[in-house]
Amino acid sequence: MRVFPSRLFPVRLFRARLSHVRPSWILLGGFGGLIVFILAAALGTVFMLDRVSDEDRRLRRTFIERLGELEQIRSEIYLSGTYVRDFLLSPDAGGAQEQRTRLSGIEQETHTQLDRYSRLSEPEEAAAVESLRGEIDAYWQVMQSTFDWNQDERDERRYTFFYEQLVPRRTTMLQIADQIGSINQRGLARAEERFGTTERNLRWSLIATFTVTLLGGALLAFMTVTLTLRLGREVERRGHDLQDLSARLVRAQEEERRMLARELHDEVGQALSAIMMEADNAEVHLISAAGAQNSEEGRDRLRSINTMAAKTLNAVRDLALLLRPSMLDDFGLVPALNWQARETAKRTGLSIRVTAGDDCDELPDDHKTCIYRLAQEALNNSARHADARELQVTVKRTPESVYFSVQDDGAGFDKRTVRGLGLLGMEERVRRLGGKLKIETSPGRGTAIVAELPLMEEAHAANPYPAG
Amino acid sequence: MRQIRILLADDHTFVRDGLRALLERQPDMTVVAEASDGRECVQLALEHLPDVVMMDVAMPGMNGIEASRRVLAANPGIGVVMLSMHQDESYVLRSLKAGAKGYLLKDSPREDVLEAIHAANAGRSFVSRKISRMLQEDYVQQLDSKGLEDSYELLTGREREILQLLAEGNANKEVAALLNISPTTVETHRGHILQKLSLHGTADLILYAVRKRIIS
Repeated sequence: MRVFPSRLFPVRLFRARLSHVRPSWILLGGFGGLIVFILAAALGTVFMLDRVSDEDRRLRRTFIERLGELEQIRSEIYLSGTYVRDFLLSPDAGGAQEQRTRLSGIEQETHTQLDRYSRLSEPEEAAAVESLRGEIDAYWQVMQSTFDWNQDERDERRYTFFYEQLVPRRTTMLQIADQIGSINQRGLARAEERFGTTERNLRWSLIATFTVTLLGGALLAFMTVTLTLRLGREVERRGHDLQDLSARLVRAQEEERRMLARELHDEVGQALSAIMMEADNAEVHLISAAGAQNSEEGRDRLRSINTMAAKTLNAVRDLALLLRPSMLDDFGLVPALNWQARETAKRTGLSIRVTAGDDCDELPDDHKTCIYRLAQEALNNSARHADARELQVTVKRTPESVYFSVQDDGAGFDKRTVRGLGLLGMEERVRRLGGKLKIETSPGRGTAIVAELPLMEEAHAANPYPAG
Repeated sequence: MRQIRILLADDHTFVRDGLRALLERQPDMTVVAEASDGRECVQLALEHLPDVVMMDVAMPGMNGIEASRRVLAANPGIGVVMLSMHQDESYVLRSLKAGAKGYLLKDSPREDVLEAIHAANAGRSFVSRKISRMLQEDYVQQLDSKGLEDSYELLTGREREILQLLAEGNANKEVAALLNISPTTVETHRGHILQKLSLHGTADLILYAVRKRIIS
């Protein structure tokens, strides 16, 4: 089956885009989203609770109101019956007139009540309400017919009318009214059932909200922890990288110095000495070819070449030794330390004693370079800053480690205030080999630079990222 | 006149050419072979049995000091003269320890070169004047700065005499013949000298003598 590249593309694009987004933005968005979600859920819940209780109150009020209306209608029907009976029994026309007025008032009121009720009524009550209205209309029409009766007719028909017309109709109406009442009751029960459902829904939505919040929170916490751990590892890795890099730099610098020194010494130096020899040979040749008296000028030139070459050779030799003394690679640490001590002594007039066992020559390259550079730095410091007179350089070797120290009788310094002096570089070189560097000094009490470098396995174990 | 037969060992052709030009001009010297590294030098020394080997210290493969050791192990009679760019005493000391008779800087004047060859041919020691001057200055300076008593004062007259003869490159037997004493006596004196001066061997002894200007 062929997969359309265009289908994969958006996913890749999204991933690519996501990987460009900084993790802090993802976290910020995540936490922000979670907080907004919690707020929205809380507001929604409060709103829903308000609505439920409002609805509840409204339904109850309506129910009671309708119940009241129905009761009113019922009592008016009773009342109208009483009035009709009074009217029928009334002996004089004036009294009858008064009853009529009362009755029409009640009629008006029943109509009004019924209209009001039908407005409040539920749809399923409509049929019952309509039949009640019909009964009431019919009732009042029958009532109306009695108004035209004269005294005799009333006397004659009142009992038949009362028991055969009025009472049964009234009973029917009251039955209908009861029917409506029970419908109303059922409506309330239904409404309460609806509430129950709403409440259950509310509970479920709350549970869902909490679950989502919890899951989202857990996810974010997981992401945060993962990110923090990753950052921690990253920092650690970078730290190692940096150490590794500085180790490589030190090594590369040393390698370059070694190479340059060799090149200067072996190539440039040899060429210069050859030039000197050739100038010498040419001078001799000139004498024999031209005779002593005619070659004065040429011989002077050749001697001048010789002198210049000699000077250059000396400069090149000094430069090469300054870069990296050849004894360090040719014979080992102790001859190089001795040379350095002699040179420093010659230059500064310091008295420098080097004490080292013969077994100190055969050290690993990194170790002897490290110790040599420490000594160089320490001797320079003592000569330049310490105002010292005597210096003691000591190298001792045990099967596990090399111990090295430079002790002077100079001014010393305050370790808390003085940095610099190449101390950082010394520390770096020693740390790289897994060793310890101690500087013991205080003003007026001389300075001792003490280093201990583990040999072999220990040195490798201390460097988890060996260069190269 | 018998010529001094010389083997040149240096990895730089132009250095060999310059030296050869100088040496070929000398009526009493002849260059019998040239080697461009330590191994070749050891090989050619076995083949040609030269009187003197002019040996570069820094050569690829096998350096001059190791080559000297091997040449002399096979033929102790050959006079080895080291040719070096290095002025430091560690090179001088190691060369002498390897058995070299002479130590020459490459920028030495031609008189030094010729004298070193003659000395080596005769079994005597020779160190470049520049180096002996440097060693002497160092020695004096060290004595000054350390305020040490000069241990040379501890030596008896006979011991001083023997020290000089040994430092000049003479073997115990030769010293014995010159002084009309037995080689065993020379050996005893030599032991005392080394002990009094805190030295470890003939090479040390030669360097000491150079420093003290007992020899040039």
